[in-house]
Amino acid sequence: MKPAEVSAPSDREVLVNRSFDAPVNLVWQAYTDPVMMPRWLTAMPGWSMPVCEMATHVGGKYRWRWRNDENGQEFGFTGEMLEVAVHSKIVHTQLYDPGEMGGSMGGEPSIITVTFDESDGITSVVTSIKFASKADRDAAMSTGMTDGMEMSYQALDGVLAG
Amino acid sequence: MHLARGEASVSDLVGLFSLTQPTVSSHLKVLESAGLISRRRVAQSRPCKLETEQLKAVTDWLEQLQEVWEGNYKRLDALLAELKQAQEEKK
Repeated sequence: MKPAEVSAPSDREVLVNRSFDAPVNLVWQAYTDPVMMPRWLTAMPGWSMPVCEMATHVGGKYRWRWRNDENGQEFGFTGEMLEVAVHSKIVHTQLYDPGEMGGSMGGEPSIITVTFDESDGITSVVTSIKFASKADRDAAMSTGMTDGMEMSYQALDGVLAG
Repeated sequence: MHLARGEASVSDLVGLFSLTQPTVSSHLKVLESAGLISRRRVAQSRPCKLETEQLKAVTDWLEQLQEVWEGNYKRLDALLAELKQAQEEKK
């Protein structure tokens, strides 16, 4: 499958496109089953997802948390399911929980929309991340960049230590 | 492209692209709301400037997101292959 395409259609939205060589029922399972999710949604090398409380009904709350295996630092996301159409669409709010990682993604929750579309056994998944404002997008951007640099340094430490 | 060489006024751009002033202004409004250009106010004119720093920050960030998402998705590819095989064996 072609690598994920990430774009910014506006100053408060990010779109991620990717196709998977699997029928939609399996992709849906991997996206919504709290046992399956931590097996792939680990964010970055050296991180795990020890907390994955999921909800697949409208109004249900979810809580995801990631941990750095080396220093134990955590961060997470929480939110509420706004729309669930099995094998087709999930819409939920998302609030950044900085844990020990720090940073901010603004005060208002962002809205995440994930759509699933199967054709000939290939499922395309489109994820839209809509920030409440450009300021929130900018906050997420600077938090992301700091974490990214931190990660690179850790990777470099690994290389130097090895 | 023209803005890469420095600030330009709306009338400069109208002359360059042989577009009407309202068309150029509406294009500029879109670019400005996307944070790609900025505009000062000088008397009646509002010269525009390319915001290369903001543009670079966004593209760097998107590149970083791409890496994180693709990392997740490669693991998802492997998990889906496993689930697919399990489903076929059950048949």
